[in-house]
Parts: sequence; C-alpha cells; structure tokens
Amino acid sequence: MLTRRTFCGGALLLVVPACGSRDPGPPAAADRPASIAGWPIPACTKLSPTRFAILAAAMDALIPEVEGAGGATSANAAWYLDQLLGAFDTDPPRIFAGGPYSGRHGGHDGFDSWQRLTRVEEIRWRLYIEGSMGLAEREFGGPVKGLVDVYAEGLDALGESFASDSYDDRRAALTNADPAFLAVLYGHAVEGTYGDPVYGGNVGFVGWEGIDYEGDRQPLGYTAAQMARPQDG
Amino acid sequence: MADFDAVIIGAGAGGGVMARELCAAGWKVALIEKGRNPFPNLGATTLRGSLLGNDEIRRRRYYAFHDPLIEPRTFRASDDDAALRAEFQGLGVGVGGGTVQYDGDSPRVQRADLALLSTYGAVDGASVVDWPITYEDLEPAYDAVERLIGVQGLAGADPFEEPRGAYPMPPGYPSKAGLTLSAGAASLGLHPFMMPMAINSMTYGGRPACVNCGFCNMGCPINAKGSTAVTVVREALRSGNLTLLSECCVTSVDTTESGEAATGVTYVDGTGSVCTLTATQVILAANAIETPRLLLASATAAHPAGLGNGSDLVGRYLMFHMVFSSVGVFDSEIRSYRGRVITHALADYTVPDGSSDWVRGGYVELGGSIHPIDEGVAYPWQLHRSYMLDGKWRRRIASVTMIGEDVPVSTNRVELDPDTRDVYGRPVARVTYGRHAHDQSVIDRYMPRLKDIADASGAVETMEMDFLQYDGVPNSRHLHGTTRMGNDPATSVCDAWGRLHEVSNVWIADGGLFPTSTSFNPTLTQQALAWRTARHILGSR
Repeated sequence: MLTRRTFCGGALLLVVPACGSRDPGPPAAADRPASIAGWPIPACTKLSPTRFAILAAAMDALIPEVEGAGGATSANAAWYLDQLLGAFDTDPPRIFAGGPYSGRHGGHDGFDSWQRLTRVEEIRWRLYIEGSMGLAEREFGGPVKGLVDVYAEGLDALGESFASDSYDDRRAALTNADPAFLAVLYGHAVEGTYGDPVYGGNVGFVGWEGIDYEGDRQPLGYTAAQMARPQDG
Repeated sequence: MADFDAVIIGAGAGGGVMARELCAAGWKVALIEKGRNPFPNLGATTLRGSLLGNDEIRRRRYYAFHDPLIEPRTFRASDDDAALRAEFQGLGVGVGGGTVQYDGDSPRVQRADLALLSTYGAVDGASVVDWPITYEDLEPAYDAVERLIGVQGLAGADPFEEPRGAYPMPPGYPSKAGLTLSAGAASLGLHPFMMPMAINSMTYGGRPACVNCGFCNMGCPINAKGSTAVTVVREALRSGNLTLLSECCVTSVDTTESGEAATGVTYVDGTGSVCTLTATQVILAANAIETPRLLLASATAAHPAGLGNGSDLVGRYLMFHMVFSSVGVFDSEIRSYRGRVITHALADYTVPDGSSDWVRGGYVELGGSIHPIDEGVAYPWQLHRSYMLDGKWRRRIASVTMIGEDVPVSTNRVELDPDTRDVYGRPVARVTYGRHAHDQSVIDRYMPRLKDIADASGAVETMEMDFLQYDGVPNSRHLHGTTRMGNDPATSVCDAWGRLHEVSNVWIADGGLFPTSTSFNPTLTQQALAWRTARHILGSR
C-alpha cells in the first residue's frame, strides 16, 4: 500500500485506470501532460489538466494515504468525480449502476449495466452537473450553477500552486476554502474513496480494505455467526 | 363510463394494499406512481431480482427516493419564520414507495393508541383525540396485511402487545447490536423481544429468506423484504386487473362542476405529456405531505381552499414522531451493518410510568447501522482519516432509539409554498412544524432511560441524538396527520373509512388519516387502514 509520502514522491508508479477501460472520452491531446506536480493526469478527464491536478491534490489532503490504508489518491477518488462530470458521455448515463449484484460474491454482474434515467431524472442530473443554462425546463427553481462550474470556480480559487503545495499547506488552504465548495468536494472525496468501484473510485477496493469494511454482500450476505459474533471475523 | 373503476395515486404502503384488494375483487384499477419501477419483471410468473443493489452511491443519488432537486420542500418552525428550502422527511419514490427502503419494522399499535383522549386525557395546546375506530376494527386488517406482505415475529414475546395469533414467520437471525442491547435492557428489568418485521425469515410468498446483507435502507436486491411492490402490487398485476403507470405525476384531482364528486385525475406522463383519466373512485395514497399538497393544488370554484378543505383542516395536525436516540459506543466489535437494520425492540415505555401527568414514551428500537459513506461525511474532514480508521460509528455503536409520540397541533401543517416550484411546475410543499412542550417533556424524560439501557449494555460512552437535523428540521421519515379522520366534518377531513367528508368518492390511504401519531412505527397501521378502506369501498358499491 502506498502511503501519502511515497505517493507524492513517486506518483507515476500508481496504477491509473486506462481510458480504454472506460467509455471513450475526448482524445488525448498531444500536449496533455502525463502528470502535474506528481499528480497523474488521465487522458480523458472532463477537467483541464491543471484543475484535475488541483482536484487530486485536494482530495488527497482530505483523505490522505496512511500506512496500511489507501486514501483518496490510491482509490482514485478524483476519477470518481471525473466520471460523474462525464456521466452523459455515455448512453445510458453513468448515474445509477444496475442490479441486483456486483458479481463479486456470486450471481451475475449487473452493476455494470447502467440504468436509463427517467425524463425528470435526466432533467435533474443535467441540472446538477451542467447547470440550468437558461433552459426553461431546468429553471423551475431559478438559475442553478452546475457541478462543472462549481468545480471550475472552486478549484481555480485554490490556485494553480495548490497542487504543488505540501500536505500541511493544502490542509491549511482547505480550511480557508469556501465552505459550500468544501462540503461538495468532501462529499465527493468520501464517495470516491468508499463507493462501489463501478462509479470510478475505490479502485481495487482500497477504500474498503483500508477501513476493514466488507462492501456489498449480495447474494452471499452474512451468516448467523457473522452477525452475532463479528469479533470472530 | 369511466376508464377505470378506481385510480390510486401512489404505489407505496397504502396504495399497494388498496390496489391488491380492489383488483382481487375484479375491479379495473389504475395505479399511478410518479417514481420509477425498480422491479422490471414485477408481473411475471417468477419474480427475479431487481434493479436495487448493495450500493451506497445509488442511495446518495436518490435512486427511487424523494429527490430534493426534483421536488424541493421548504420548512419553517413557525408562521413567523421565513420558509427555507431544506432536505427532510424524504421517503421512497417509485413502485413500492417507502416500503422499498424502510427497515421493515411492523409492530401493531395498542388499544390505548387509538383512544388517547379517553385513556390519558387532553393536552393544552394540542388536539388530542380518540380515533373514530377501535383496535377491534383494525385487528382483522392487521391479520390480513401481515399475511399479504409477510411479517416475522414471535407472538407473546412482547408483554405489552395486544393478544394476537401467530406471526406468518418466526424471527430471523439476531444482530450483535440487538443481542447486546437486549441483554442490557433485560438487566434493567425491561422486556426486549425480536422486532416484528416485514422481512422474510424463510421462503414466503414465492420470495427468498433474507440473507442479512445489511443494506435494507437501499432496497432489498433479492426481494426478501416485503415491500408492497413485490407483494401486493405484484399480486394486483398478476390478477390482470391493474394498470401500473410509473413515472407519471398526478397534478390534480378532477371533479364535477358542483364539486360533489371526483371524475378522475390529470397527470404528466413519462414523456412530459399532460394526460387525464377518469375513474369511479379516486384514492390518494401519496403520503402525509404529498397527499394534502395535491388536495390543496386541486382547488376549484366549488372547493376554493383546496379539495375537501372547507374545514381548513387539510394539511393541519402534521406529526412526525420524535425519533431520538442514545447511541452507545462499545469497546468490542458490533458491526451493526451486518444484518437487518433492527432486530430487537421493547415496548415498556409505551405505557405511562405513573408520574403526575400522562407523558409516555414510545416503542424502542435496539440496533441501527451506518455504512462508510454516510459515516465519512458525518465526520469533520479534519478528523476524517483517524475517525474512519477507528470506525467507531461503523463498527462499535449500537443505538437505543425511541419512537416518541408527538401530539397533534393545528399550526403544524403542510401548505403550498407561494414561491418555490418543482420540476413539474407545481408549488412545492411548505412545512411548518414546531415542537410542543409535551414533546420536549417526552424527550427530557426518556432520553436518560435510553442512555441507561446503553450503559447497562456495556457502552463506554454514549451520544444523545435528537431527531432534529443540525438546522432544526425534523427528519424522522414517519409522516402522519394532515387529512385526519373523524366523525365530525368540522374537526376532521375524512370519515372513519378514510373518505373525504366533502367529496363522495375520494378516499385517503396513507398516514394522513392518523388523528394521533401513536407510539409505534406507522407503516403496518397505514396498510391495515388501507385494507379496511378497500373492503369498505368494495362493500358499499
């Protein structure tokens, strides 16, 4: 398991999901950097390379690597957010995984069969991600700033140098960040670290394994003994 | 000639039961549900799986749940306050409604719950009343519904339970949290027992036994939970008499010009088209916030204040229960997320303790669980890493939670918000809810007793938690009142059968009917009331 310190010194050693394992994103630009300040930049990110590096650095500061427990970085929590921002690049959009099983404990893997959205769900998720954009069907509650703009503004406010800052300096900067943005960022960092891997984070289950959590259990479940005597494993 | 014999609005706890009963009698019924259908083969010969999963992300993204972006709500604590948008009291939205994600807790009420005024007396500033029906009226409905949805439990284990026959299924496996807290409660002379639950402990109704995956609140992937979707709605579909219209949002109940009767409903379908259908009977089962919202939005010249609201009581006497907890932290592994959310309960505090007034507590749940995303966002980010590695909330807590009865107050109400609209362009629900002094007395008196149970169970520390969120907004997910039933049209919205006093063929089949909130989880009682209303509708045609 990489610790935060070893990561910052050798980020390129991290196994980053290949774009080919996801749906096709925008082609990698020839001048797109492989990393910025040690933060690997995926070729198909929805964010600019600079913003992605700031995002990864911020999530790392919120949920750092520690000895024996992967954090947001090794879980690729930033990828989770990136997948959400690009949810509508695929059809069906990658909002709701399928069911009923992941296939990891038996049964068919249904999680990777994404569910279609209802009409109002599509309005809702486009509103959340893209914003109301002056469209009447989205402005029933007034103008709404989408997640794309929320992150653009929030990451820009942290500043380009944030990605190069030390862990302590990044934590200090987050303390002074806009609380509304910080709440959104923190929520996504947590989701990306501990959510099901199908959503793009928690790669290799590092988030779950790091906190000794079993994750999804269907169709296996727990035995009577596992319920009543969890101390025995 | 109407399109349907009946149209039911809302495919949740009450609407599902209603659909089953009417369809079984040969009625042609339209069941309209604004949410999605997560059960793609619900009407097939063999029910297989679902689109639900052990997936916290899906839950956080409001899958088949009330979504505050699609349908915002506003809240204020009193008429003097400004109403602010808030996320609160969300229930399942989709086929099965709240029964898809609920714990499955299915206790019956006690006789005194239906006769609060005559048993314990009035409370100043509250409208404490007797229900217009008795426990004996409900008992056959309880028996029927428990069989229809499948309830596990052990008759006689709860010494405060009304006499009853055997449950359809025996109790399932106990959790460590339930066992630990039960031992502590018993050491105090209390009487814990295994919670009656609408979850299969054995193969029942063609559905499998629960495997105790622990994700009840995200919906049961294998259909071991007796949601109304996989039980009664499925039965209704199998009868061939049900037309299930999911992803359709009813925008008004339509009436004759005189307003004496309903003719059907207008709704927006899944493509966004505005549609109408006609029906001989109209049944609202959308929940105690959404049903009054729809009645108020259905105002006409004959019903200028809203359908059935000549008394100005539609939306009033909103009750949520005070769901408050002493959360015990233990040295040893508890891992409450393994297995059903709750496996044990006790009812000792549903009876007044002989103090100078009649303040009483309520049903007590022993257990509770949390998964890591909800846990993680609850911790301050500065302490996240150490807290998550320790996993106190996830691994070492067990909660003692009381379902406290809040008294009905006329100013606690649902109205239409004058400023905020939902995705359909409808005014959203504005909720006003303030805590009565009686309710605070219940919390003050019983919170220490909940802590006593946690302490006696070996907790090394406890955290006392009110049901009000950080911003003062109540979030119990138990919705009652707002269309209360009674015999007097001046003091109630519906009659003793759930029919609007002012409209001859409009019925309510949700928690809105409750004149008082009782001291028990409400779902089974809502379902029993719906069953009873259905039988009355069938008998009176």
